[in-house]
Amino acid sequence: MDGDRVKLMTRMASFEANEGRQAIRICNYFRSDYVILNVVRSIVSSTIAFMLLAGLYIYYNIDTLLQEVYSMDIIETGKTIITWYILFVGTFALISYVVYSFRYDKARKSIKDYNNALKSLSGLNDRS
Amino acid sequence: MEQLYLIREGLRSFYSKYEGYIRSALKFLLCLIVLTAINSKLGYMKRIDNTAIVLIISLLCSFLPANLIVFFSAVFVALHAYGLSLETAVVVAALFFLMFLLYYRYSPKDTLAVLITPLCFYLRIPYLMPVVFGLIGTPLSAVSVSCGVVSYYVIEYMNEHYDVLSGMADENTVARFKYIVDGLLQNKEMIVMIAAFSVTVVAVNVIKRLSIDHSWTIALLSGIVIDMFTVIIVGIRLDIKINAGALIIGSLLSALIAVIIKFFVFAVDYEKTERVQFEDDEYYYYVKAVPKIRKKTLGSPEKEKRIEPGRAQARYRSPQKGAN
Repeated sequence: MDGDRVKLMTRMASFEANEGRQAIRICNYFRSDYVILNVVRSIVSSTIAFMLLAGLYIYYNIDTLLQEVYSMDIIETGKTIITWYILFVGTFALISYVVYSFRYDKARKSIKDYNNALKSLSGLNDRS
Repeated sequence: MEQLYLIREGLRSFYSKYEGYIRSALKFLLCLIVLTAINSKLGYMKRIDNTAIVLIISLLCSFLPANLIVFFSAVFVALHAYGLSLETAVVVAALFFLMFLLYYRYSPKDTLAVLITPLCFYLRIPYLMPVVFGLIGTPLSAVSVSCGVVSYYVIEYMNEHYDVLSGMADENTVARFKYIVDGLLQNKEMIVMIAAFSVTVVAVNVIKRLSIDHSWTIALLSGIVIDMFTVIIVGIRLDIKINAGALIIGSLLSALIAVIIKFFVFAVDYEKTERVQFEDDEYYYYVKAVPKIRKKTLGSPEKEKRIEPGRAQARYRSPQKGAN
């Protein structure tokens, strides 16, 4: 029995069981697919958060809003809401883009190391 | 000093041997302490203010992911808030939901800060949190610690304003809602703490990364000083009274605990013993990999030095041909 081979296989099995599990899951996607999917998820969650915040704001100011609703410039108010929405969701989409691009690159690197270990193992197998 | 190193190595080998049990016991204890504290501080909903329920949930959390402790705690706080008034429950639930949607979804590893920060406030050592999270986390951990600060002040707000909130039954719902939101948003002490803790987390994290000797110790001690000064400066700017005695004693106590944590927890690799199974064409392997004892050279994690040879890194049981 080859001690080096057992050590290498142990390290690889440990990687697969722990941090490698997520890295393998991430690297099943193309980079663009992974990043876009998570940016879309962030847009959905920040949209829900925006609606929740807007709901709380409206309820807090309900008395004033009910008084002003008839004299309100609907188009101008709509523009303000859309601007705030784009700023809010855009910020989170941008943060997600950076975070998930970084996570993908990190996972890719660890999978690369894992593949190198696989090659070494194959070399050891050929030798024996 | 030699004795302390021995205790530390003993702790490390004990942890690597019983890692699974220790983690479960810690999760159980954390959940038990947090839920009991919530029940004793709030306790407005009598149905959940029950030791049996707390014990069952703690037992459940001992083998579930740690983040579920945060979920159950948030549910407990929201239910007690509902026991106080519907409006309080809406505000509290919305606050926790926003924390999840906007931050913890991206950074689930930091979630425990939202639990431990309020606990540290009740133990009078809140200044420990920004230092510890500055050391183990990233600059973004400032958000986690700030969420913890918000959670503490939400609980304190409900606790302090119980009489007013429960006596507002005659007022309309909008007035009650406004009273709660105003009370939370205009809490200057909370703003001071958020500012001080955020600055401290970022400063500690930056100093920790500097390539200087003893960067962790320098980061830890300067973090406590930065924290104290930020509290004083922002406190004066916002015109709030600061209890100087509590600030100094709390900071010194936090510094002492942070030094102990650094020595016993951060300075050593608490690697667990791995049990892995794999196979090749000839054998099935059942391997127990016992980590060698290592001491981290803090501040430069890439340089690690081995201080004791320890046991063999990978041991394998007699492989059984054809076994499952």
